[in-house]
Amino acid sequence: MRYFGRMMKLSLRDQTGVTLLIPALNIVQVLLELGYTMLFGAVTNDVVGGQGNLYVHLALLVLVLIGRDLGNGLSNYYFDKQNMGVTRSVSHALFEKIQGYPLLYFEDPKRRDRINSAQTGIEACGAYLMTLEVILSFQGLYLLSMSAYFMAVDPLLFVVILGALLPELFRFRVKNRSQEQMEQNIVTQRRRLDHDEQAIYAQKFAKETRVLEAVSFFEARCQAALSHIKQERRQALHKDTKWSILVQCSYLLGFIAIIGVVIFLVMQGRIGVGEISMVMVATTTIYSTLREMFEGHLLQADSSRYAVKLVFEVLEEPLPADDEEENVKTETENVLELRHVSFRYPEGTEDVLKEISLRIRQGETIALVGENGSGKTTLGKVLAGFYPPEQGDVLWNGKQCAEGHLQSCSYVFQDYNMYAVSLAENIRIGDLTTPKARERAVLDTPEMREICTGLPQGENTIISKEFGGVELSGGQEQRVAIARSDMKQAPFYIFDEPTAAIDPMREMDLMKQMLGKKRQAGVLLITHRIGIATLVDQILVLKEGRIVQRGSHQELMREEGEYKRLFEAQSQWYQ
Amino acid sequence: MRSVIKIIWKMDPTRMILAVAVAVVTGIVPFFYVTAYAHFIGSAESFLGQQGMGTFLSILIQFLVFGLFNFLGQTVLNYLCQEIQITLQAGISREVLQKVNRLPYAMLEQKEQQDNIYRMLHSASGEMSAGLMALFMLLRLVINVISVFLMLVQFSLWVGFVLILAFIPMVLAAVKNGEEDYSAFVEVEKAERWMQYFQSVLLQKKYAAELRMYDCAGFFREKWKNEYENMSGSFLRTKRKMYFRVKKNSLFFQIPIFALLFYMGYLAQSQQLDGEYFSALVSQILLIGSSLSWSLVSVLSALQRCRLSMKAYDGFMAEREERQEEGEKLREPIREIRFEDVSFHYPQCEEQVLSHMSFTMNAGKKYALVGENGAGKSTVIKLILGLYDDYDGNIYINGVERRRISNLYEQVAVVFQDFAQYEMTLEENLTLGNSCEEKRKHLDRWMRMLWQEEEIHRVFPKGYETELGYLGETGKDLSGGQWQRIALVRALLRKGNFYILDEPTAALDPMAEAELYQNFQRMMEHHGGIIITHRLGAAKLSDEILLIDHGSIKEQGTHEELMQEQGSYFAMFQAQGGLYQ
Repeated sequence: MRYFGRMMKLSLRDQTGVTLLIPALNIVQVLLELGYTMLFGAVTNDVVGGQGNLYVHLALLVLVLIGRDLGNGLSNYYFDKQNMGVTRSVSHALFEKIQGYPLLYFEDPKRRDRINSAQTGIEACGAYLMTLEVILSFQGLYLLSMSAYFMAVDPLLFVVILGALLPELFRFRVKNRSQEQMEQNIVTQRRRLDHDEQAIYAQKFAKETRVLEAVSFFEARCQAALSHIKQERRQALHKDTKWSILVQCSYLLGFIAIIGVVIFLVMQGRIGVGEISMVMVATTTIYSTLREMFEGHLLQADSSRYAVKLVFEVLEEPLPADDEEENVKTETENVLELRHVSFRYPEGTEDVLKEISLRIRQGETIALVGENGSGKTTLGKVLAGFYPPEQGDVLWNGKQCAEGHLQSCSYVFQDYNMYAVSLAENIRIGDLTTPKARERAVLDTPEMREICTGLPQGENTIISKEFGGVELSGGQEQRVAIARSDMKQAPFYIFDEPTAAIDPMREMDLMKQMLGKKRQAGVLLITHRIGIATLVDQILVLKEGRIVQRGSHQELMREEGEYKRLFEAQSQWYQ
Repeated sequence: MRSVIKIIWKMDPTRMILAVAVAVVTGIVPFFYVTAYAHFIGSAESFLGQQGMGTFLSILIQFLVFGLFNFLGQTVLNYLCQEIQITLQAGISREVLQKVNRLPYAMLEQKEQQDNIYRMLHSASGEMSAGLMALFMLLRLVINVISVFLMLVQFSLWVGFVLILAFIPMVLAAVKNGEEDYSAFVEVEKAERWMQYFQSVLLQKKYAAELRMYDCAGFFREKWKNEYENMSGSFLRTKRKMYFRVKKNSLFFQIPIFALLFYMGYLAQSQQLDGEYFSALVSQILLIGSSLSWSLVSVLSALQRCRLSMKAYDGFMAEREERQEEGEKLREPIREIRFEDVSFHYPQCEEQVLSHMSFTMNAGKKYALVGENGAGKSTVIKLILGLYDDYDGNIYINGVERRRISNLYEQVAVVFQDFAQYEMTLEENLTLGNSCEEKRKHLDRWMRMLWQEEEIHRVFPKGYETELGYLGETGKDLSGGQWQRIALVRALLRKGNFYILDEPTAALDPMAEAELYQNFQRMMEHHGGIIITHRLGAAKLSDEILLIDHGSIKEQGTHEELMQEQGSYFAMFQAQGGLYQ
């Protein structure tokens, strides 16, 4: 109910007209529905009892039927419209919320799952709102007025109808619980199944699976998962059907009881023959409405409630306050500094970075080398301000800055992305506030021109095969990523060596392009190509989260240490 | 439609028959209702006199029968359909996966085919069983109409035919509507794909760091919003048109029914039709009329969807298969690989990736393929492995044309550039299900070769049982380099000993890289193999280097020979090695 209120609020804010129109339409529908029941009784009365004006009643009945038909079309349309609007409002709220997440949140698989569930839950929101509205303003109102009618005819009828409802209420709770239970039971199975299916057909697995002759292995795993899921679903279905039959039997008994009561009332002379047909019509419609409500709408509302809950859990989660929104001040000579910084991932058991201290001055180039898993990428992210350190300080021009200094860095990530927008936009997103002239300058560099000329629509070509554009080669992508980081004229650049294979000639070009920033900016280059490190001012060697060596290439080669070991491991091939 | 029934018939005949029976029985419900109701109203007078206990009971029994069918019929039908769906889902998945395995690999590289398979595995069974359910609803509606028709005919043949005549155009119009709606939603689907894409950009981890770094989330939100407006605009337009049409038709076609009402009223008043039957019949006619004009639309669109997904399924199952059984078997390890004037371009792409390539490789020697990105190195590997069949020229392995060999995979061990990261236990990752005592020994040996003892304990706390990836409760993710080493051990465990390694060092640090190259040299010492690499220092150790440029071999020879030539290889080597002087 709480979610209903929140969604109503969103819907009222973003589309007031439609939101108000829907309950009004529903009320008209209820009136027409009541009119139908009354008129039908009247018509029967006319024919059987032989008095009253049959043709007038028939004409009115026809009008009500037409009105009902039209009203139904209208409200369906407006439900669609509201649904669209709600989806938009909720999506937007979700996007904004997720944008506020600290990057570290994405490292937590549980949280990523929650984002995924919220994403799939968005669609349920509109349906949830709609079903609740139908239940409240249409079915509820209709049932209420019908109950009043039955009360008026005879309270006994009312009691019987109510009695027949009881098992439904029970079933309703049981069904939902068993459904949820089943979903929980199979959720991991289903994810595994997805994975194993992908191992057979998805591009990232298929060729290796075939070459390894492992298809039958995965097939067997899929079979096992499928039959497990089948069993679970079947169990839930059986349980549900049992209840369903019980409920239907109780409806049946209630129905028979009503016939009995009607006959009894006729015998007693308390209702006339004419009223019998009215009661009968009312009884059948009330049952079909109840059934629609419980088996259709309420159940739907309840199953979508879970999905909606997942959305709102994300939306309503308080985020760490980022009150330090103050902009960092850039001066002519900037210094970025880490002082005794230690860091560990939220779920981690060990510090990934230990007691790191370093300084980068504007105009200085630093190479960060070390074995896999020594913490290089994490250090880059701490330095850029993505990850707040556990201990120690990140200082900008000597002043403490917790998270707000993203704008002082530009970063090319190891796993940079190409987006399905035009080439120009792919670069422009580096800084959307850039004046046109500068954007042109970046796009008109020889490297970019070379890429553009190879594309069907030049810089307006969409970079995605899937959406009817083209795909760039690995080397071209890297150049676009670097150009993107260039757009943002930051005092510091961090380049995390892209692992995508790139041929030696281009590699040298790229490295020099990256280090070329040197003239104006500070550069931190994370690399495995130790040879490149000879071109920088200072080298930091990271081992198990600690800086074990620092200095220029010549200095470090004189020491018997990690650096020399790494350098020789690689240079031996070129002797 | 016929093939859906055929499939379901094959998988679950009993429930199918039961469901048809239930649908037929629930179809006759109006008949029971009208009889019972008419009887009830008709004999109401008799209760007034406190007599007629017998009528009382017979009425109750009639209603009981009606009620049983009415209240329980739907539940049973639902149950049966869901059972069928559950069976169908497992069955279809099995069939589809088996089919995938028989398809040529090249087909799996097509985006449409991937989407197709995904849909088949995830939504096809749902759409098929919804189609089946719709079919039952249709059956029931038809029987509804027929039973009411039969009752009407008892009073007036003429009235009965008017009813049928009124219903026929309604059905036809609904059929037409269903088709139009479906085609109208294609546009909506296109915008939806864009929306989903931008949505994932805004929400997924993959993009999170970049969006924050460049502060460009607003840009993508705007893009999303545009697509959304686009989508919802054309969706609502379509819907508006559809509702309008449906309602217009239904009003139009209900006119004869309304006329019928008045005529029946006239008959009733002039005592040609019993009053009790009049009211029972009228209520049923109105009910059927509204369900024809309304639920018929959804029934037909479900049928349409089912038909389309069935068509896709049938089309998929009929795709060309590879794996000729009559192929020859290699009975001995690979001795020689020979390319004779091989040219190749990828399907759906004009550009030649390889042109007129010829070379011979012998087992026992180590070969390095070097060259720029996109020169065609990986394609050579894929052709050797038979992942593509549509090449010109000939590839001979031990003198047998590649296309005729059926068991090549037994003789090779491959590590791809984009090695697979299977999210299951370490042991499963390495042995893929065929683990035995002897394998275990090899496993330990190879693991120790590539991993340090301390590292094994740290990274795999539960030993071979450690779950890799996030699927398990306790799963953990590995770094790219760690995954790569797993892929290497996996390849080493293969029976085949002709090694093919596609740039295995991309994610390795210098120490691991150096160690690895040494291991490879040892490994390939006796059996030989091919390595694709950008690190020319590693290429140097090979017996023969093939420099590939624009799909053909530009330079070929030992390191020393190529260095003396002072060509492209020399230039590349200088560029890379220069830094290490």
